[in-house]
Amino acid sequence: MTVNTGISTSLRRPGLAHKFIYQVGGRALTPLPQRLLMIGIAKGTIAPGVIFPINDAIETDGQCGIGVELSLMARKAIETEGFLGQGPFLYGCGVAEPSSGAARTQTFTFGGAATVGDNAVVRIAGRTLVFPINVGDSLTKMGSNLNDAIGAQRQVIPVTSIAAAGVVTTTHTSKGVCGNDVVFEVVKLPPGVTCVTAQGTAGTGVADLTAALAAAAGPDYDVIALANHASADLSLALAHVIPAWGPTEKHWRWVLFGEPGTIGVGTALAVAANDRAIGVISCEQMPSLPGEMAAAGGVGLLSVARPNGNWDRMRLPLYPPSDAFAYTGSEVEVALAAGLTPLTPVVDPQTRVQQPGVVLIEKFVTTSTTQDGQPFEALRDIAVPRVGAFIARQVDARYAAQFGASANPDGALLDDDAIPRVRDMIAGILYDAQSAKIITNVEFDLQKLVVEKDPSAPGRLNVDMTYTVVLGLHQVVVIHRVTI
Amino acid sequence: MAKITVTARPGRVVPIHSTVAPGPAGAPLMLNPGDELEVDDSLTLVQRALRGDLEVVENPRPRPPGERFSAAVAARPIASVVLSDAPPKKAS
Repeated sequence: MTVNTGISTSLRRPGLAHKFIYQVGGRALTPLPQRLLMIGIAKGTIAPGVIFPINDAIETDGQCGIGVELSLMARKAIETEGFLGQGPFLYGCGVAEPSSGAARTQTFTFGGAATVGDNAVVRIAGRTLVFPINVGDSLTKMGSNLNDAIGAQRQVIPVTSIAAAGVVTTTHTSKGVCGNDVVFEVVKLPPGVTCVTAQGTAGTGVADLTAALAAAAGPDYDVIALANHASADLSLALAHVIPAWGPTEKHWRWVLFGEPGTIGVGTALAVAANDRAIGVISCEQMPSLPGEMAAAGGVGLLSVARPNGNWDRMRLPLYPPSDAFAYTGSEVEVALAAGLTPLTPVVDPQTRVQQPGVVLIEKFVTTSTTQDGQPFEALRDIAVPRVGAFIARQVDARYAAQFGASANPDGALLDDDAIPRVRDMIAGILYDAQSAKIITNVEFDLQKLVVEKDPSAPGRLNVDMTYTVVLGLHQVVVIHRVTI
Repeated sequence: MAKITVTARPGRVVPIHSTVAPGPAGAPLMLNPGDELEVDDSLTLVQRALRGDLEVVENPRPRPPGERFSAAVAARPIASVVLSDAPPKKAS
């Protein structure tokens, strides 16, 4: 190969010339930072449709509004990163609350009188509110105490409240059907006291994610977590990821939905999606908000930088559903078969008591379950499309290093060396990925590697490469031959 | 134990576990609103699904004696699984 200095032949003055070329040495995979974008309603200082980095929960409260959807998603993502000890870079993009519609309201109506003083316990979206009710407290005092308890947790709770004459009325922080996802529970009351919680006004109106997804189309994100979870949002997500995964767009990403409805509700989304780039996280009656489910799931997915990670039994800091709605083994089975990523409570092995504030991912799967109407297994495990995207990014990075302007002063040429150099580049990446236990069987798969000039497009090389993903260890089946 | 006919509630697609009704080609049977499936009402999975996903069809469509809709579709490809009121396809 001729040494090409890039120094013009017009240089006449005698002496030595030096030129520096910087490149990645050795054979190593390029580190790829992970990025999570969250999209939800925001009512703060950041304009809708503007993508911004999330650094701190208090800062995000100002940008998105206290207790508003996107603020709570950001808090959950930060909490999950702390819980897991690692995670992606976080970004947010707000959407405006519905221009028409109503915010959901819910009332807590107190009655009776305490015969014994004790703490009362109420849960709103899984957040536990403890407030005192003493002997002799009036109904107004009881309501006032609950109102104070809600106010004390304003930063993490999706409602505001007012109290009057023993009735506490909460109002969701934004208009829209998202308010209907909030679960209100009266858990414990002192003897003699009653408290009935009932919905006042149903939330109406739908926040439109179109502009936010359009804004996200250009930058590179690995996961987009959505607060919405309706079929219309799924259509938007599909319209987003299909071009994003296009051969030249190269924005390989996954859109995650949180679905606290039944398996049937989640499956309606999954069947409509049936896409390697869309995940539906399912947990019936989960008190955590759908946006929080998606955000925590996104952090969980990206907390494992290895593309072929195994997320089985990974714990996430989300509020579990009551025991009655925890998925059974058979329900987990059908959920996985339907392309849902089921979450289940964590149970103490000694006491069999459900652990508060934590759930586990049974298995992280995509919604891609069928192809041409037939069962299709290859893309169920989210590790498989992730490895594809990872290898593609490595090829891009290695190509830029070896064939880019810095390594080739006159630019890369499609000369006689180009085909073997591209072959070597691909082989190098595959061997490196094999060393990192991302793919296997490289020696055999390289025999199928084809690099050839395109017969019709001038200046183009076509590469056909095969690689075999190292999957996670998901199951061990043991047969016991017990003999006496 | 009794046989009941169920369908999916509106807006839902209910995957049916293979122990309740076998699906086509190893995939779960997907019950859509309007589809009818005869099941054993004593099954825990059925009882749990009746809390939200499934509802009982009070007047199921007439069918030949012994026809269990799920069995009739077991051998069909997924794309042609039809359990609704459309007449059953003739065997080719």
